[in-house]
Amino acid sequence: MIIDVQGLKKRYKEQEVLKNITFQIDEPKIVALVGPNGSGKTTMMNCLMNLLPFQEGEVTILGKNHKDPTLFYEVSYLQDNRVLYGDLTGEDHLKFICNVQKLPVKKAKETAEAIGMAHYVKKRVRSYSLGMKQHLLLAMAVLNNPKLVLLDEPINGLDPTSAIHMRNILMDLYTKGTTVIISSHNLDEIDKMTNTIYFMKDGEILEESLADLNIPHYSLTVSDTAKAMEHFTLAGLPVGLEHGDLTFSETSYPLQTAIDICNQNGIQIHQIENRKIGAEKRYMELFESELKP
Amino acid sequence: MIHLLRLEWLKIRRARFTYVLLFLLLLTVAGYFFYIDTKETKLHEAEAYVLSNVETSMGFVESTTEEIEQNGGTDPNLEEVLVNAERQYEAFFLMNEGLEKKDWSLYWQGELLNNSWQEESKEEQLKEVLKSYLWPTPFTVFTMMDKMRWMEKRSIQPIFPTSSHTWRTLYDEQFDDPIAEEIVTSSSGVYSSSGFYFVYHLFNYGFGFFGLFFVLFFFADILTKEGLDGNGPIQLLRTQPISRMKFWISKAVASMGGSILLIGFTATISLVLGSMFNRLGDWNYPILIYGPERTYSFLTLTSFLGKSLILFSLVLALSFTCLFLFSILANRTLLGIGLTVVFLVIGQLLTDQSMLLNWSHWLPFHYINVYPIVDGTYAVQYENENYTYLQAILSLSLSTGILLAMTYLAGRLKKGVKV
Repeated sequence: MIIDVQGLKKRYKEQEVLKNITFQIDEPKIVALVGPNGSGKTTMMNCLMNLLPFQEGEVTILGKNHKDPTLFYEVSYLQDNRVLYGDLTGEDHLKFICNVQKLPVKKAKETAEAIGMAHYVKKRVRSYSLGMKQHLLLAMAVLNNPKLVLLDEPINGLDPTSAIHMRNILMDLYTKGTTVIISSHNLDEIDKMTNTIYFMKDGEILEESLADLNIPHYSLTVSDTAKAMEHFTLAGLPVGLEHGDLTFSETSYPLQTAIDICNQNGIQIHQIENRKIGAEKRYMELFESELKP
Repeated sequence: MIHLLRLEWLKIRRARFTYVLLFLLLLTVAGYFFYIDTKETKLHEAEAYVLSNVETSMGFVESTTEEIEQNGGTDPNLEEVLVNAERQYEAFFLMNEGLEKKDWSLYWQGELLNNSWQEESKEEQLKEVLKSYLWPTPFTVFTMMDKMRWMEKRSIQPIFPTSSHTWRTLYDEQFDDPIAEEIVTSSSGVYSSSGFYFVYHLFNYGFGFFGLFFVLFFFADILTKEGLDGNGPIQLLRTQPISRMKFWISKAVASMGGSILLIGFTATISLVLGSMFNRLGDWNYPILIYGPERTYSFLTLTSFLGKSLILFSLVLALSFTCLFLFSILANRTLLGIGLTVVFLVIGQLLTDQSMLLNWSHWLPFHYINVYPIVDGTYAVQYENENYTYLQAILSLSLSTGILLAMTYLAGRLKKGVKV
């Protein structure tokens, strides 16, 4: 088990900011926390990382109590860039982490090169752009090859180049077996990299959506719907019917197979629509009331 | 732990603020050094003074001898005048020889001889009046003579001028002669830019409010940079395998160690300036320590500085603890510094009002200016023998412990903060 959260409750005086949060992650994946401001994403991350106390619940990370400081040999938490020392250089930060994590100092240089920040790592952090700071934070987070990385809004405010670079690094981490928990408002980026999305609102996880949000769901408007249904069934291809259109998911078969069936049987295709749900669409459905002016 | 200390060191080394303050410190020390240097009575001036006295006293001996011969040697008053004149001549002769040969024991023998009559007369006075406030009090004469003996025994180069008019103590409250008062007042603040003596003189200000505030400003921003309550770098440290105890210990070690290094740096600069433009000076120069009931002793200058440094370190520990407490309560370093300064200044101002309390010696604010505690002048001035060095150590340690507990509690009680 990578992370096991049971009945996590956090209150500030009378206000309950986390309400009975329960979830488990048992295999490496990229998990996104999505929700409006104040939904409890950062608070939850801070509670998981023992930066904030909470009143009820249990958090176990990699089989250890979340208060165990040795956990940070295997877990990294990338917070906002206010945690950086403006007067120190990027190299100072990386070397400090190497020393604390008992890693060889040469790892600082290697990581800086791998992240693509070698040309500015010796400059003071005060002179860094937002993207440079985010890359430094990411470099600090991945130095120790962690099994779990938590990132609080790492992509927000980044230019497209930096965002793509950041995404590639995170995908690379995931392919190497690291579980990544990321909070972000950039739903497009989340669509591109996550396996699971936790939609949060008012301190609760409203919904755990799996990756099928991103799998294309097609809708075909054809000349003869009944005939098409018959041929699809004969070919053993599952198909649905919505408002007179054929619907199917790419997990069942590719779009080209459906086109071929229609063409072979003289059925004209008038329109093909990709009805991929996506994080943004689901977000709009879940938070519809908040989007209204 | 060593990594955390290294981080603190890096923070100090990389901050531009550090270099600005160091430059200001150097400027102040150098400026003060050259000011002192201009006020010092130089060796050649002392030589000229002694030589003129040799000639004057020799002339006086000759004229008195002639007068006695003219009177047929029958005037007992003139005989006594001659004895005194010969003694004075002998004294200045010895002092002159000492100056010429740089034999300081010889010089002090001369000075002791020159002032021996004072000691004898004060012994008589002491038999009649137990306590006197008229300059020079018996206390002043005896301490002066003992100081000279100390210097003679250890062959310590004098800080000029050395006459009896340069020595006054806390017990000299009145003068019977306004001219004597003027001379003593102007010459009792003896200056020297020689290395060790300059360090002693400089730290009279350094081990007090001036030095305390400078050290606080120097380290406050760096030590509270983590933002004890906010989302500052404290969060970075908390997400590393570092125990909170180590974190706090490293802060304490860095602030105290850094302060001691800064004091060491200032002392070294002062010694270097002294050695370059004057001389290194004597480490065992005697410092008068007032005891209860008009008793006294002497401490070597370096022992005095060592004792002062220990006490000042405790003052610093108290101040840094205040700073941590106020920066937690105020959330901002600058406000934390401001509150600390106000707290210490108000505390000091209120000490006068607290003097009547029979437990006032437990208040730590009495001990912020260190020298008067170490040399005992504070206890004499306030006629309270409880203001001792040991009491200062106890009071400061206890107050720091209480403030530490309050800091811990403040961190615990404050919403969402984990200290």
